Amino acid sequence: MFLEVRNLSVNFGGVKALGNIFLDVSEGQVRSVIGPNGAGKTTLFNVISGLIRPDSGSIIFDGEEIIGEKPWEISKKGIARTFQNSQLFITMTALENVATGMHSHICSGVFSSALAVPAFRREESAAFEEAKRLMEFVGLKGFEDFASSSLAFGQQRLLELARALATDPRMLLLDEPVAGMNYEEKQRLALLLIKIREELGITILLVEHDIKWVMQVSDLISVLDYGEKIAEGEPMEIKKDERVIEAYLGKRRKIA
Amino acid sequence: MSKVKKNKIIFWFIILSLFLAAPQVLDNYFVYLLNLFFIACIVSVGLNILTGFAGQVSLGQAAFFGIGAYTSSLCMIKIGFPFWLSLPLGGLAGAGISLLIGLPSLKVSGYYLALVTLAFNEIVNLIMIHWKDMTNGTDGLNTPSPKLGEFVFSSDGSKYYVIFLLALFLFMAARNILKSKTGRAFISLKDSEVASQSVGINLGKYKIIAFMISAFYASLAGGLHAIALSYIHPQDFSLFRSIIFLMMIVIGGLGTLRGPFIGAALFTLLPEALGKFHEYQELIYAFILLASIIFLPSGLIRLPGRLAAVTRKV
Repeated sequence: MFLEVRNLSVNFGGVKALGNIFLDVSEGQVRSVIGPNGAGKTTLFNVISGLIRPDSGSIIFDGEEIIGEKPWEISKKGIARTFQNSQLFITMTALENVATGMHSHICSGVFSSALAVPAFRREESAAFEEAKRLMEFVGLKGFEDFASSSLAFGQQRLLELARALATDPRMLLLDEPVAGMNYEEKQRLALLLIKIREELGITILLVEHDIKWVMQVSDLISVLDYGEKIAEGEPMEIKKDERVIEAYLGKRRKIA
Repeated sequence: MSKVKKNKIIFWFIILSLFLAAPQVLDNYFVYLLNLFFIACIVSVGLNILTGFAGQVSLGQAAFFGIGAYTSSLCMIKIGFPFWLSLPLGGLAGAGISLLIGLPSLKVSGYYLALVTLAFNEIVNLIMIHWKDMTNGTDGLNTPSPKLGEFVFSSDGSKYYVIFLLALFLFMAARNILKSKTGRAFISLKDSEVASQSVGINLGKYKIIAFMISAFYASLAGGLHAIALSYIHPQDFSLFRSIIFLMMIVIGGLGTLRGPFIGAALFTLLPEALGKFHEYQELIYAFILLASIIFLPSGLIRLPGRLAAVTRKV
């Protein structure tokens, strides 16, 4: 397995956020985690990306235990993420945000930068070229020099995605990627995810509320409720699962 | 080459020539003031990297300023090292000590660095006063002038070239760093620590690098201060001086490239302009700080823009 979550538990001051979660994601998959508000989805992401230390359990990424690693170390191992409420570097331009994502792939240190040696200049211009290419890839061509805070909400999400891609990840965690997007933007993002998987070979794990959209993009779906996994399967199976329908909509209603 | 770029080069060439010619035409007193101005610029450009760009507050820059001044002066007086070796040694001493206090205090987030540096400034100041065998206490130290072969840099005009050229070099270096991955890492710390970690930036490492750069700049400036005045005294490196350094960048414009110069100019000229109102200096500074925070929260550097906006409204 590419990512193995084993027996993961997190408590916040006695309140259970995640209880004995198991999750296997194989390489090249688009896996979604769904569940009502407070089901523990974002907590799961924060544990995988190293922001929260779990009370117990283990997470193996590509054969290596990553619990206990710092967030930047996990990023260097190849897990990138976006955030529920966008976390852009607001005093930078859009392009600089993406270039910052390439941090680990630029070698020039403080001294060669201070003296602006030729190797530093070459590396910088190559990094900005790559950043431009990534902005084009996510559909933000022409917005390079915009202040990142002046972008529309949907564009900010795409910019975060480009920044995450700039770290050259093998796995991408997307925290509610279509929240606040209109129908058209959602469709475009669905296509973009296919491109990310097919062209870049990146495995995607995402958390989302929009079930219709999740059904459309996912290979496999896991459902969390009150910190526990209550179901897992392909979109068609999840649609029919009684426990899922109950958790989400209450009894005797069907998902459209 | 584009016309804009060409004009820009010509513009900076003229500015550079003016600064190089300054000691030839200006009165000694003004050259001395320019020296103080460039020294203040070096400290504030360094502090701006730490506070304006990386978002960490230091209240101990005067301590590093002093460490640089005393280290380089003592290397010259006690060991007989030439100035050209003593000055960088002073800078390295400051950077080294900043690593020692930065390691524990930057691991924790929030305002620990501000508190630790505040205490550090007091300690360093007390050491300067009481370690009389080494520092000569409150009698101060007479710093010898730099020499190059037979030539002695004793006049304000000759010291000016040393100070100006080093300030220019340090400014260019700071500008280059801010445009590099290191600079982007600094800004990312201030903008969003979580996002910055998520793209592989080691928070603690970059906070410490920013702190060390600011300490290195302050210490080098301290070494220059010692030769500019030919005399150093513990009072030059008090907490009050640290607060003035911080005010320079807040009033000039935090996180801007040129803001520190405006702040440095203001606080170099003010004490001279105050003259017999000298006793009210602290009161006046407090008013300036309050007024600038209320009316120009993003610094004097934004004043032209603000004025333009106001006149448009009228």
